Amino acid sequence: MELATFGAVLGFAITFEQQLGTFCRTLQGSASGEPSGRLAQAVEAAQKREKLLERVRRENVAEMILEPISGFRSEDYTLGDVPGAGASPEALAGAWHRAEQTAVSFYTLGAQKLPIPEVKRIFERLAKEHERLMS
Amino acid sequence: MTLKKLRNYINGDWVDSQSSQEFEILNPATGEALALEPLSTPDEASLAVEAAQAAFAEWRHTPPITRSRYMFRLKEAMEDAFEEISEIVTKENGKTLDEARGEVRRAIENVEVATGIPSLLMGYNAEDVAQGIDEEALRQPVGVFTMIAPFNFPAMVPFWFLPYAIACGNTFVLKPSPQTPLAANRLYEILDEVMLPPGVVNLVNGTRDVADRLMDHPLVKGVSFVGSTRTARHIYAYSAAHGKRVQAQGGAKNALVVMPDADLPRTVQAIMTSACGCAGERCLAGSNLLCVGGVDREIVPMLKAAFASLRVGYGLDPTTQMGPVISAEAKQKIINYINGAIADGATALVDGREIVVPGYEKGFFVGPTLLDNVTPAMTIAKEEVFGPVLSIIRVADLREAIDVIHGNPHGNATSIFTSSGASAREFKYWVACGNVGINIGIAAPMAMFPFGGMKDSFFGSLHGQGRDGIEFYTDRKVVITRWF
Repeated sequence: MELATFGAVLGFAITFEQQLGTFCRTLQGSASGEPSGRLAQAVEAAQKREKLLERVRRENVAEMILEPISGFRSEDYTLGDVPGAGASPEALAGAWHRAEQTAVSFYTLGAQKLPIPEVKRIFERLAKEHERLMS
Repeated sequence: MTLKKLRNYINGDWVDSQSSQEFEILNPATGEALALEPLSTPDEASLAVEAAQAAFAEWRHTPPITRSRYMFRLKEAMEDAFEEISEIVTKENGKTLDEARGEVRRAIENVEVATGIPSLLMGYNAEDVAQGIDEEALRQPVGVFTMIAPFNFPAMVPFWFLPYAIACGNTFVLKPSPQTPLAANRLYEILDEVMLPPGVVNLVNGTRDVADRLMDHPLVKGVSFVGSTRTARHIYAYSAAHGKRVQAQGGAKNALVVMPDADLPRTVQAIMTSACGCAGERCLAGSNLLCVGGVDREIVPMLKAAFASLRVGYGLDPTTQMGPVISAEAKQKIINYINGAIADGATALVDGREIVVPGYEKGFFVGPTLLDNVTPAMTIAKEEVFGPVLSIIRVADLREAIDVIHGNPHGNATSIFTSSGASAREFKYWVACGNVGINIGIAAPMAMFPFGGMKDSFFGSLHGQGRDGIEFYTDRKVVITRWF
């Protein structure tokens, strides 16, 4: 789907965080020890980001800035498959890394596409947050 | 499926209308019926006014800080229901979900401003106006106010008035638009959840009979209206004849002036929003594009491409950039205007008359329409179309552009696009319009500013929103004191 409007971008961001939370929860089911704890935190963080994005959408949609957005598609930001049961810790870590990398790419481009300073700032911040989660 | 029949909200209760007359509220994108609107009777309007009057004495006596807390609760409740209200607006009005969200945001912003009522209501005083004599000016609430709402902003426009009216200590009766009453009805459910004292806010669904009673009822102190110029003029005259204070916002014919030094890519985006946002069904929509000094050679091809590429569809689809107009009648009226313009000599560079949206064949869609070779004398350049139609008019210089704007009886809004401070200043200084944009497509005042309007676009003296709202909803009492 083309993310051609403010609502489409923010709606996708909210859905993306929901999916990422589910993705991390599924990964957590196959993980143990310290990685499992980190994934639990990632699930919680995704839920917080979802709430944040809902608020950002509510507070920043103003009719004077409903200008079309181009060159931004949701298909470019799909999360990969979750490794099956018995996957190695490296495979789990790799899947999570790729998911966070997808998030970084989405928020980085989103910040460039949305002309609203407050939303741009939040997207930049979320890109950084996802980048930190990769390290 | 049985359609829900709307009820009136009177004295803190939802009550069925006694009227047997009703009609269907349609989703303009799908043509499906959403609910049944009762045509309430004048007596039901009187009941609402009487309930409001009965509630007034205690409500005006409630400390402003307490009334402010109701506003905070109202804001929170509206935030919680934000997406739901936005979807209702899209379904009943047709605008895109983003536009609906923008509208609900604006409604909430008015509640936010009204939370400041303890400060906004303050008067002023002076000691020793004469030896040992002090003088003070107080603001006091007035009584029952009513609002007659339009279809195009069913959530926002009532909230240009309601929060200020009740925060000031008045009571309120709303008649929503019969075409789009659902958002207002949902907002009243939220007002009910906020648990305002019974009678402080009331809602009566209906049409002209209800409006007339609200305007001529002896207990009503003031009337607010937003709609067409013809109706605004009637409301102003009729209400004033019955001793009411009135603020009646009428129609518009807004010009967008593009100077040769404008930033054209950004100007085109702003023009698109202005002309096609909300399918052109707003009183701030730009409808005449005044191209100054040959700028048309560059901007017209850009606009043509932008108009042609706009995605028209159902507002709930997130890829949609423009929704339908409100009704089959509105669609036909817009098409008639386009037909008339072409007969008068205009050229359709982009023609939206025949648009068909797959899957929504029953919807009331008009595509973006760009008309060239329009002259100020043509009907299309003079009358409010209330649709996604932009007329290109060429002028030699800024002075001529201002003359063209002044040649129209409306004075609601206008914008200039320029990188010259001198041109911008000359424009804002001279132009006789109530809302002026400089490099802004839709010059929509925020809640803390009055929504302007001049000439045939406004009848009254105090506008909606902001300081004007506080003034409209209060009387000033001067007290001169000497103690022996």
